[in-house]
Amino acid sequence: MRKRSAERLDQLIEDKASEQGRLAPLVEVAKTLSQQSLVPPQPAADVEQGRRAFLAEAAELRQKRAGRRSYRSRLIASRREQAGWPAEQRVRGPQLAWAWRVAIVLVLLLGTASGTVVAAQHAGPTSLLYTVKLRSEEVRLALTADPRERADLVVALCERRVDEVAAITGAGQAVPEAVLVRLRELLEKALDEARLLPEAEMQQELEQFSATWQAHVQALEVGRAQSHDQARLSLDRAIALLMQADEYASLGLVDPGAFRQAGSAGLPWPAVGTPTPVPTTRSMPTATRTPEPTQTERPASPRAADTPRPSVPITRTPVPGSPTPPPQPTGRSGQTPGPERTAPYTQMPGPDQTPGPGQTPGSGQPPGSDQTPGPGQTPGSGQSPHPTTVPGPPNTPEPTHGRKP
Amino acid sequence: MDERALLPLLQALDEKALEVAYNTFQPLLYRYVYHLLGNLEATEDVVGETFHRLLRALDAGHGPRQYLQAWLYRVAHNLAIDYFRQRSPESFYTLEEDRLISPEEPEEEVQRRWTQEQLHHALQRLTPDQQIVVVLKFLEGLGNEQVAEVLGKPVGAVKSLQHRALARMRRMLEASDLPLWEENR
Repeated sequence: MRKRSAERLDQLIEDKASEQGRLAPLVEVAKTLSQQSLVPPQPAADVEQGRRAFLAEAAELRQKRAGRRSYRSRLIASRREQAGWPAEQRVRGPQLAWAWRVAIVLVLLLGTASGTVVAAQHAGPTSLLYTVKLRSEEVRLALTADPRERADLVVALCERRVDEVAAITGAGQAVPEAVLVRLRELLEKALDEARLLPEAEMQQELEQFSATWQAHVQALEVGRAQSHDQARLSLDRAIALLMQADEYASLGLVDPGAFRQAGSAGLPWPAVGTPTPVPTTRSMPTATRTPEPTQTERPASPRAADTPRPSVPITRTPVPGSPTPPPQPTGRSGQTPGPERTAPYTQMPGPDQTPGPGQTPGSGQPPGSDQTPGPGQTPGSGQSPHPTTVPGPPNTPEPTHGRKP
Repeated sequence: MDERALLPLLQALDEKALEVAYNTFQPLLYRYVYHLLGNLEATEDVVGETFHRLLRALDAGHGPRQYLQAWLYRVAHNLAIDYFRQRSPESFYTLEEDRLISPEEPEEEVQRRWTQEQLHHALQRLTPDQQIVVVLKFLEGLGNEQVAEVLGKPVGAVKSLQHRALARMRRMLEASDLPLWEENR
């Protein structure tokens, strides 16, 4: 062999006579290398020991392989051999087996994942699968490209949350805060999606939102009447959220420009972590005021100081850039809103806030409003910064403001 | 036995085929690795590990598909390089204990061994690919095609490596006081 390689080099040099001078020293190196026996012989005992170790390891592997081989694979192998397949194809057996294993694992994983997602769709907030349910909703939202479809989907998801709230409170339990937070996020998102639509479509969507959310509120209020304690507090929070969302939708219908500018990020929402009781009967947000004791001639009864007010009225924070609510005509407090929408951000009286006998609304109204003073009243008398809206008798004494006559 | 006929039997871990493969290629690998490392103990370790890797690869359904010899040389070479990197260079290319020069040795034998040592040192200073080419081609007698299989490179690249390796060795041997080289010059 070595001689042959050296001969090859010699032949090369002969073929290229012009390069002979340059290559000759290299040939000498090659010859030197091939003539040198550099390797000492390996001890025979070492060789034999290495061979035995190698064959022993091979035998061990054969045993393990036989143990690993399942009945099925053995059957397949024997059939292959019976079929007389060439050896090379049999050698590919392990590769195919791996491919099958990977495929089976993938199918199992996909099947399990799909089954989990389907099962999670009916999971309640207390279920371990609830997180999966929320994630699947997010995926659905992310996969919905059309803004209008997305808005509708968000509203449908809001409905899911409302159903969950109803189910939990129906069982007399408090709703986990996460559900209410998610409800608020969805309401915000619905309004955001509406903002992205053209004017006409936005109006349509907001109308639909408003109607849907009012229906939700009504449904929850029915449950609230029959609920107690923790469940009622949870319902109050959910109702407050829905009413606030409805109010923002109303703003979009009244003043689309301000609605678009406002954005949901900076808009205040009722807290979901702190109980916020709401009036038992829902009424649409109107530009009304909280009733105040009337300033009539009647002696101030002890009840005058206990003017019925909402136990904890929903705080309406004006949206930045929103229009100022127009002054309302006298005596509209507690009225059901008409077809035309009134601007939001007003305090909303409850049923027990309806002005009772001897009470008139007017609290909070700024002095100098365009309300007409009643007969016998002196406008701007200084006695009452809030003009009375209920006409008194001609000889009405000065308002007592709680003083006893 | 032809390599291609041997491979399917090796995949099945056939005992006879494995024994044939070991008996055929172990001496080749031993010489090859010894050329690279110049250390008997290290060479035995690397050769043993090479055959161990062959078994593991065969068991996992991998291993050589066409050329068993090229596969073995490649694995042995990589292991030798790793082995060399893990240890200090001083531990290699030292005269074995039983090969120490004794005063009774004839001058020719001393001269021969001195030449061997110089060649070892020159070989050691080549790049790994150049070492493979020189060892396999001039010390083991493989052809360009076989060397190309071991390296996984075209034959042209092998020829180029061979040319550069020999030129470099020539320069190194010229710089040494190798008598054999002086005679040939």
